Amino acid sequence: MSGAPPVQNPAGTPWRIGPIDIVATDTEALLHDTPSGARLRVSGTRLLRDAHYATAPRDARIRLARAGAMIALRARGLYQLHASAAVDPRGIAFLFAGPSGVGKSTLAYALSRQGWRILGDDGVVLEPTPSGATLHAWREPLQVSSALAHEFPELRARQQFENVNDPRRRIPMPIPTAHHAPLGAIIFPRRAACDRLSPMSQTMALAELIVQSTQVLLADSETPRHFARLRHVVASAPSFRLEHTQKQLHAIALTLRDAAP
Amino acid sequence: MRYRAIAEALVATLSDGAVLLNLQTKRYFSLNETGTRIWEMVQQTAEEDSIITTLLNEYDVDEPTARSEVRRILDELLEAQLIVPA
Repeated sequence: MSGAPPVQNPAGTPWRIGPIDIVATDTEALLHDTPSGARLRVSGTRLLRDAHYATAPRDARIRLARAGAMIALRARGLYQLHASAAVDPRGIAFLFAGPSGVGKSTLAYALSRQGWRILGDDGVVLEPTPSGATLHAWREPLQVSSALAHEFPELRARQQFENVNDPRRRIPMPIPTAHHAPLGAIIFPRRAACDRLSPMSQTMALAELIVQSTQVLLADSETPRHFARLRHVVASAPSFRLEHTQKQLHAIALTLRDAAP
Repeated sequence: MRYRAIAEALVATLSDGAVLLNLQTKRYFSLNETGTRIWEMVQQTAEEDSIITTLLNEYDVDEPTARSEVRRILDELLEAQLIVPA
């Protein structure tokens, strides 16, 4: 562990993404990976290595680069969301937003088995456009819990790739991918005892989207634009609450016909 | 009583209400249509009594209900540190 002193920037606003402390000012952001002590500086759209970065463990450098990329993209009007997204056969993207464990990845994988292409498993990039938004891929392997092998038998053939350090023992799965697609609808999944797709109010959708785009809370000069653009997206695309059981693992494409624009 | 909105609040008005973001506390707050109207009047530093009068003119509501609703929303906005006494 590094003995690097904590980030000090009294003029900035402190924030945290996972184990990374961020201090943002109007001109730059300082990212401090607390387990390793490594730091990265984001100045506009540039990522600059700072103290201990070069000697930090690989996972720390990946964490910092990921968080730094989110902030650099934001300076270009592109917003990383904690969400999955799948593109239907017509080329329309459906965004699945929500906290970990609500079924975002599983539903995306279920759709990929039904011929849809995937933009992201645990993250996508949102680009607001005059008429709505375009979703861009955020490339990370799609991972599916090995506990779903009874629903998705093909998982058994890839059990050697199971991540044994993962509490959900997920397996990275090869999937058809897409680069970008226009946003058709926003889906907020929730595991439930029944299956139901219901329209969501715009205010509720925006409130839930803020939680999945936490960089909006950096409270820097970009925040008003970021917040206004999230508002534009929920005002432009319909939002739905999807309460789902495991039945949806085989029926989700049909269910989403009711949400299609 | 008169209140004012804090400078660190961002507002997104939507078809069914508004979402307020308090950049100091890093918390968001949702308002329905009536709450959004009350917020608009607070931003103009309106007196509590004048907010009630406006609601009575604009909505089909009796005075005790309007008074109680305005007080409830103002209390919630105070609790969320989105407004302070002017």
